[in-house]
Amino acid sequence: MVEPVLRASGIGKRFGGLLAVDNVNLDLHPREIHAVIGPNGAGKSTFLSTIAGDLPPTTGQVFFQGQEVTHLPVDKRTRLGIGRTYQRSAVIAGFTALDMVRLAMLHRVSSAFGMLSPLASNDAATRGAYEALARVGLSERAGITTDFMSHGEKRRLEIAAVLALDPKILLLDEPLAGLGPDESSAVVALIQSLKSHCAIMLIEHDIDAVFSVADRITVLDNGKAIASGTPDAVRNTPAVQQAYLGFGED
Amino acid sequence: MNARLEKFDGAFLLLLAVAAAFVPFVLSGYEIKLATTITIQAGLAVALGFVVGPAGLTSVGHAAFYGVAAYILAMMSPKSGPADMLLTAAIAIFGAAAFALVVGAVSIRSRGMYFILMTIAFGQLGYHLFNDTGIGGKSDGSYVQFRPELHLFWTDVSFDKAPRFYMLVYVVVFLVVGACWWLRRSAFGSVLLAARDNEARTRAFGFSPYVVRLIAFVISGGMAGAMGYLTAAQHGFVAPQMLAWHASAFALVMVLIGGKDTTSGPAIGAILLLLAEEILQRWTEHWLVGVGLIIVVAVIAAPRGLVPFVAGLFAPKQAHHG
Ligand SMILES: Nc1ncnc2c1ncn2[C@@H]1O[C@H](COP(=O)(O)OP(=O)(O)OP(=O)(O)O)[C@@H](O)[C@H]1O
Ligand SMILES: [Mg+2]
Repeated sequence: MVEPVLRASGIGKRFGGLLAVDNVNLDLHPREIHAVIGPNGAGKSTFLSTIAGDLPPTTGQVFFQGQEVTHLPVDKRTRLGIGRTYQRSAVIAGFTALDMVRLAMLHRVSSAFGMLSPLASNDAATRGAYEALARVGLSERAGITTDFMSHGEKRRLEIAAVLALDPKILLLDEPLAGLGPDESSAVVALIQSLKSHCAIMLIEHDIDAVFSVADRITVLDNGKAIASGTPDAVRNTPAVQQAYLGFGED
Repeated sequence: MNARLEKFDGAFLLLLAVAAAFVPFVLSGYEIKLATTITIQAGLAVALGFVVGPAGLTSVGHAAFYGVAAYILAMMSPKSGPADMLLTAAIAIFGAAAFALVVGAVSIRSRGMYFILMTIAFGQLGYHLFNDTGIGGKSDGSYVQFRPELHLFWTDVSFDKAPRFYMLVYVVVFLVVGACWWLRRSAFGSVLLAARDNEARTRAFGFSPYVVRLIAFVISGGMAGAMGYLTAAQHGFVAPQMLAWHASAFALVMVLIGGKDTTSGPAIGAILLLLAEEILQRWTEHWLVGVGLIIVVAVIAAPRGLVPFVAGLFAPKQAHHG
């Protein structure tokens, strides 16, 4: 089997008395969508943050392309090729959609010297930003300030920005949350199409979407991985069916 | 910054640059000296505004960078004749920037109140360094006997005459203000703004907020140093008070009154406050009360600063329904 592009091994994260993530292992392979599901408070976002670098894990190690990145700051991981979105929309206030995505392009297309010219005069960033906005269907909204965008638009803008980073792995934290049905299926199709480009770790509560796009699924409950494998295998795991009693329907 | 505010900012800067260019031709004597002082303080306020605004760093220690550069000139000035301006200015600005690098590197990891406290503490450290130890003549300060001269290839340029010194100040402040205006509009400025609004997101875009803020802080500290150098050259005298936190706070008031989110705002804040001070001082011995009142009224009437306030007056009415 090919080397995983990302390997998280024995990840634990403690917040005071709470063990939010408890010894979780996860391998992410190229061209794979690996979904992480589980009830509210299971530790999914926390786990993602230890991989992205926003939170240092209490125990365990993260390897990216064979290199240990456990203690690397977020910006360095981004430059290596780890891109993430946040569960709560993280757009930048006062910026137009276009400028926010240009900003995401910058570290790839701009020299230190290029940082001295305005965003708008960076042609490579502008071109890349328009492409990314087109992929999420926001071309028409490029000039709109993020403060005036709808919730769904903000979610898609965030995806556009993270695409502009051209990451090798993409960590998506509930990208479908709060989207209308049309937006939602467009984003699912987009995620599906990104697979050929990069490996994706997808946290999502929309079980139908998860089972339709995921190649593998890990189920977290109370910080522990209670199941991991193909969608079919996970669906038939007794522990999962228990944990999901009364949960899977919303 | 929205487009309208950006236009107003540019217009105000242009207006100030043109008006200030006339000073040596229409004013004379004491007025030119006053204009020189105000222009230097405007430069200091604009440099400080660059870190208070886009970088979101409320520094109450900038007078220390300003004062250190002034002291460097005083200590490098020979008793017998004028110092070499390019050399002393380069060292003074470099010294101020290096001090800013140390202060910034230690302080920028703290946020909010704690950052303010750190900058005050460092500033006071600088103040006491000169006030309490033998360096630079203790609390009495120290003299710059001769105004530095500019050695160009073919000639030495003296700035002893007030109009010519004013022109030097004009050019230097023009460059500092121009650089701040440019940096605010640059991609670097955008990264600062993004980090101010959403630190995590900016990190996840591949930028270290700490590093970009530190760069801004050092640039601004060096600029403050240039202003301190000019002040020492103007008055021929330096004193520990130049570094004290009162001076830092006064510069911060200029920034906030004019508008930290614009380049012209801090300059306008400096001009208004110093002119008010000058006029009130002639009028009453309780002039400080008057200055205080002006600050209170300005902050109540225009909490985001005078330039954004004026720009807002011209906002089309329907914009509010957005
Ligand atoms: N910074 C923090 N400090 C303390 N506790 C935290 C912190 N972040 C998360 N937690 C706790 O850790 C646990 C896991 O939270 P996390 O956000 O990772 O869950 P999640 O699986 O993403 O849930 P959801 O589906 O609601 O997003 C929760 O009990 C949460 O309250
Ligand atoms: Mg979560």
